[in-house]
Amino acid sequence: MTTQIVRRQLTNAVSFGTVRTLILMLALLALLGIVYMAQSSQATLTGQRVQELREKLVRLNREIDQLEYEIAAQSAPSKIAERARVRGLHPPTLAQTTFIQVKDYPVASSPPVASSPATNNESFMVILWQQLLTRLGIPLDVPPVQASP
Amino acid sequence: MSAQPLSRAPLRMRAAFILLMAVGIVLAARLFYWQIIRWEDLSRRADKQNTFEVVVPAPRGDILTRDGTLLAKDVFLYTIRVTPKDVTEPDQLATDLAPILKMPRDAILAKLKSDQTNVVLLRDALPEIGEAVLDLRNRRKMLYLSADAKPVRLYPNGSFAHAIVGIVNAERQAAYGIEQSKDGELRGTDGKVGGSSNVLKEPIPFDLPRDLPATPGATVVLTIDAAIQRIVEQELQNAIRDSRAESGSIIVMDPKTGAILALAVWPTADLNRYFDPANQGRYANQTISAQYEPGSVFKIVTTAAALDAGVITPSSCFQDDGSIYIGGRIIKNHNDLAPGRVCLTDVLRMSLNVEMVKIAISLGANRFYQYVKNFGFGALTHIELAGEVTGDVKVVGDGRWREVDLGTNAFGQGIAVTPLQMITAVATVANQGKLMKPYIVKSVQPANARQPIETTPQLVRQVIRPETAKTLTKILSDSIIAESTNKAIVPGYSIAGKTGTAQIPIAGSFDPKWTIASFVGYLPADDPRFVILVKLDKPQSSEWGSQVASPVFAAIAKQIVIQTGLPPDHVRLAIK
Repeated sequence: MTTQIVRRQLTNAVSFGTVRTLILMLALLALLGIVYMAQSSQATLTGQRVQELREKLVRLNREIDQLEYEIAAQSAPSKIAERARVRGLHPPTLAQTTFIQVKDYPVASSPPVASSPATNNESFMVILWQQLLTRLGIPLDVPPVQASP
Repeated sequence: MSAQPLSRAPLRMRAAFILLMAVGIVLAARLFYWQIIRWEDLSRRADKQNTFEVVVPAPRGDILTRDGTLLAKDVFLYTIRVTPKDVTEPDQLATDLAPILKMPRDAILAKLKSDQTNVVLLRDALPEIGEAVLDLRNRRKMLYLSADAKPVRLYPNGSFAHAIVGIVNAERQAAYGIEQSKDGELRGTDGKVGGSSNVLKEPIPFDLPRDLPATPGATVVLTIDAAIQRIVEQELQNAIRDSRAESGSIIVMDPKTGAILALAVWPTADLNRYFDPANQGRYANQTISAQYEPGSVFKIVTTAAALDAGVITPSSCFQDDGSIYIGGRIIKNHNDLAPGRVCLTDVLRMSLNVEMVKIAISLGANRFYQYVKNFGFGALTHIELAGEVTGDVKVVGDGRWREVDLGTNAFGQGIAVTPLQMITAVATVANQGKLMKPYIVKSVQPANARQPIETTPQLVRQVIRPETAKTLTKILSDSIIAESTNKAIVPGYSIAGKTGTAQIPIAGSFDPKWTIASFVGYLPADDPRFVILVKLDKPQSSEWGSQVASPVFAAIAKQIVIQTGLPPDHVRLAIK
């Protein structure tokens, strides 16, 4: 009697719509799983590729370093001078050199000079003192004392 | 069948229930212990087993001259190792490795059949060899073969600029020169590569790689001009050969900025062979870490101080009888000269000690030592080189100073300076009395920065008035012109300078045989571009600076003006 009641209740509860929803959810979950797996494996493959490329970059950089070193060793000033000497070249003497005048020839300027704070202060005091002396009409250059022989 | 309360259940059932509960509680407690309390430790141990992490060493930054000549560079070299007991086919492996390692097949085979656990097949192999070995290892899955890369510091120019650059040893410790002083900037930050691995630590491509790239060290560019440095080194070598001096040093400086254009020290040493016992002690830079009594070149400082203080004028004349008594000691001129009446230009031309003593006495000890201090003596210049010393200047009231010191210090005896301090002081006179901080690092280029950090020339102080500097330059220039046979003369160029022949102090006295011969000068005298200091220790061909150091100054100056395109005075002044 009790078993029959339970079966009837179950038949009422598990309708076709519920089953369809469940199947759809399962299918969706499976699809999500497949997408996740695909993405994950793609990421792994990309990661591996990135890793390989980075290793290749490191190897190439090391080869570049090696080549730069070899070039530097071959172009060392002493080696160039030695090769030039073997080929009969030698540095010119001052007597062999002619300097020509070029008007407005661009000359590299020196970098700007930074003053120390103390120097700025000193300069300020000097300027102030000089201005004061000038206003009072006192000459700036005091003649030095003659040394006794 | 209805459910029965436990209290009414049979005794056996209750016992079983309690037992199951007890077991459950124990299991839960253990689970709590392993999962919660020991979680961190176990997780770390598990990670250790199935992950790998390799440190990627950062290459050290390069050191270059201002014109791009490479002085120091990190290169990765490989150590090829093998575990002989795991090698299954030694004959085949020896055949494969011989052309790669460029070693005889039999030599490799002997190592492969060794009883040792681990054998080094080749050390310091070039990257192309290391990579070829790694290729072979990966293709054939030879886990017993390895090629480990490590950065090695190499110096492509050997001994070129050896006193400036310094060294980095096999343990990657920097010593001397720029390598030591700029170690913080040159040393990069190591990187890491990690990820999932099997027990043998072979990477498993399971996830995105976890890696932190290494950051290379900064590139340091020096103010050194490779061409001038080459000239200076060549001329120093020639001077050592000709004078048969024990050692020597030369510095070339730009007086307007304080930039060091060249710095050479003899004897030299190959920077790649720091482990050679013959090179021990040769890497210290003698121009900053060794002090000496400068002798007569110091008369420039005494004269500058006296002129600036107004104690003497360019037209001052003196009666020189060849000796003077000060502090209980008689001081004489060299060669017992007693020239009679002399004027200031003659005093410097003849390098008269007696007159320098008189000038220092007129100046007074306090003022004299104040000028000496202002010129930078007795203090570090703070140049970017390791191992600088302050020199030794006794001053009134320090407990060591005696009255006679004022007299001897006036002509450069009893005072210890470094060559760099000496050239900086003379550069001050050349630069209208402005003392510039000497520097040798032009810029530092960090690996990740777009712009280099440039060094700005630093004015330390105005030591003497510009008029005093100009007057002294004329006196120094005239004193050279007055001697037509002066070996420092550079045809077509006005120069100002002074020779020095200093005695070498030994215990309680001076060495009777040896001297330090020097010359410091600058050109063109009216608008100086270069200050050059030449110092030769214990020359044998002649003891005099005028004989051995002055010609070296001229030889260097003649080449530098051509190299830098500095026209002779008549051309230069005509352009102006």
